[in-house]
Amino acid sequence: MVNLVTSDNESFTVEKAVASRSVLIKNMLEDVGESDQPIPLPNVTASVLKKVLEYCDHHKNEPMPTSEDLAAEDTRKRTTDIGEWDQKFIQVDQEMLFEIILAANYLDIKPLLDVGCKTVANMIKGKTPEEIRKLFNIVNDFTPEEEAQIKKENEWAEDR
Amino acid sequence: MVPPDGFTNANPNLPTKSSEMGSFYAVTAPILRLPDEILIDIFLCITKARVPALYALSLVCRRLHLLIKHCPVLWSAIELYPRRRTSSPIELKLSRWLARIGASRFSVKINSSFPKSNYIDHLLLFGNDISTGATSLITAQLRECLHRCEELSIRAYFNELSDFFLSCTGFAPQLQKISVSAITHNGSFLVNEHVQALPFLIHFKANPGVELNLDDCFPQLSQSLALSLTSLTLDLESGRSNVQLLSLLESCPNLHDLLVELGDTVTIASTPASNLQPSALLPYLTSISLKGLKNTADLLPYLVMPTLQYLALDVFEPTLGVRNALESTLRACCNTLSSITLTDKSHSAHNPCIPPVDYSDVIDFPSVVEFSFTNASDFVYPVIQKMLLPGVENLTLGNTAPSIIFRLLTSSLTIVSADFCNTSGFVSPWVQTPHILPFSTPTLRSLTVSRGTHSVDMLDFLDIRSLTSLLLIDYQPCAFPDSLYHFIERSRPPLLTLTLTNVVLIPDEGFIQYFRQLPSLRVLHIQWCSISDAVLHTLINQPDDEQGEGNPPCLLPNLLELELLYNPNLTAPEVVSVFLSRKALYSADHRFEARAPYIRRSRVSVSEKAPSSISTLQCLGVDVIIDRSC
Repeated sequence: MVNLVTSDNESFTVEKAVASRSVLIKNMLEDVGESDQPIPLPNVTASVLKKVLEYCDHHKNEPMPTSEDLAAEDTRKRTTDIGEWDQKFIQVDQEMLFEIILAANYLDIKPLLDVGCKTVANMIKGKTPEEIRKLFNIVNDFTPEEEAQIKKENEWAEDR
Repeated sequence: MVPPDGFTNANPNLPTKSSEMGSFYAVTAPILRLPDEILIDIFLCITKARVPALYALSLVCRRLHLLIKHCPVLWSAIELYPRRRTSSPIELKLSRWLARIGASRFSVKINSSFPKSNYIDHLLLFGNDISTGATSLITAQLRECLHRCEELSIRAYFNELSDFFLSCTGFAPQLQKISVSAITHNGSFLVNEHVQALPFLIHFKANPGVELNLDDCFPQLSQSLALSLTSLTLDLESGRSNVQLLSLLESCPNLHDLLVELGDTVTIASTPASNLQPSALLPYLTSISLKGLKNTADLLPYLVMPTLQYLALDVFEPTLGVRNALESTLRACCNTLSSITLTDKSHSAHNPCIPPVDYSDVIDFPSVVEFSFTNASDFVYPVIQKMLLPGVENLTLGNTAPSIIFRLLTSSLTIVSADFCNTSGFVSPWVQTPHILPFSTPTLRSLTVSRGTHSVDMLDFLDIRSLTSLLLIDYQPCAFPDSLYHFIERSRPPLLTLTLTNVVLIPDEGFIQYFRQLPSLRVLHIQWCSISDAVLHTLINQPDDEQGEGNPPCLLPNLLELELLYNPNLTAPEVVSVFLSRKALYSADHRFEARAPYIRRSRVSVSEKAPSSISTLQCLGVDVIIDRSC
């Protein structure tokens, strides 16, 4: 078993196979060898780690992506297909969604990061700038002149 | 995390600037807490309509605008449609696009065909003249950066293709995929008149390999491109030609995959009889698929494929030459092949003359795990009867004599799935040998029998005790108990999945007899069958003669998935009552847990004339297809 301590000082004891879905933790475990020392995760809160561990537990028996898999992945041909279980898992509020993405990035859990990125991509697809702003609560910080200028310089990209 | 290629190099200051802005907005917009590399990952996921999506995103806020504008990898898939009406001229569009890509690698897709509506307009304006030179406007720009191009895909008219490749040519060391599709404005394809030169220069030893896909044109390759080819797809749908296929293959010794599909009127050039040993040595070829090849004998004997694993072949001409070519190829590759797909397109004959197996002249395929053979004829049977497939796992036999099916099925020690189709025209050999003992096929897990009662008759002679999946299509036995019932009763297979499509039993209580023998069943799909309400009712209550202590409360007590589609004898109320019993009330009343287990997944078709039943089923969580044909 592995003991993980979050930024808000909560402790989680999980199976090694579950914790090792994180490449960061896996490497740490390999470095320190057999030890009862808790592993501090200063960038992850307890509520987020709980979700992340739920994902890791569900996928613990799947093969880890190899470096060849990652190298072979063509970044320009990604799809936004998400598995059924993953879709349900990632149905959380935006705050939690982006925290999960950040945690997956920090903990180096590539499949979870992919699920998060694809979910956000699906949210963006087909939306106008105003709809995207509204969806993600983003402030429009362009002046009207800047906005007009950008529209002009991107005019060619508007149609296909 | 390593930033995607090209981003950091393009503007080293950008991450710092944008991250600063990110922290400013993070309070209200959690998406802006994400670092740039993750935002780029997200934008890369939006593969379809990427440019309009990028356009929209760049208008959201300054951070996204800067990020998108200065990230070449987001712009690296160019798509151009020269004949579409757009707000910007095509050459301007390309120049802007290339500017965004900077020095990064890219792919380009050009589709110069008319959209349907525009084509009518064009014909009205210009008649049949298509020499608008739409693609020539962009060739000069592409030529300048061809050394960074990884994928090139072009669909254009014959004359435009020639012009394009005349200009857009030269050193292309990064090319990994080329797709060329030729079209004409009046739909006539003259393959022999369109040999397309592809004069790209490639360091074939440094390049990992090029994939070439050609549609209705034949390639003339530079030597370096020919040597770089690892995958070739040639699709020549129609025309009048003698395609020089062997010469082409001779120049491509590094091919791994070859797929040739020829239309009805296309043939390959005959090999001159005087040339005693012409051959194309393809030492790395692992997969070959020859579809629609009429004169097989002019190609197959001249291909040397020592590492071939996958063979898919259409056989057309019932000549001795073709048969010998087929046999020679199979014999030459028998030790390396793992998958064989043969489709006989010569005249098939029912009740054919099938030669006995001559064990002194067999071809053993120790590594073949997949074998598919359809439309057998007298012409091919002598070859098939020489084949031994001891390790075959997946067997697909269509329109094939039952004796062949039986031999191949029972001679494999590892058979896992079998699919037999359309044996109705054959005389069943089983009636002549009614006293043989059933042959055991202990490894078979999945069986599909379609369009052929004789194939089901064969079950009388098989003992398959591990069968977990059975699919029956178009099965109408003359009497009940039938072969299937006897098989189930004898083998007691631990079936988990049963699919019945267009199965007609008289009397239809025969279904009850099936179900009674299959208590392990988890998944049941019934479509276009003669099943009646009385049969369906046994899924709620046991038939009268089976009720009593010790018996489960209904048939198929372990059922988890039930699909009932277009069964004309089923009424909507009975369908509703099944799901009322075995689905919804499970959670509300635990008495039903004891009576009948919960069906988790379900799909039914119900007549549109039964709206209340539709509503009830939908409330129960059943996926309902509304049948408007009733």
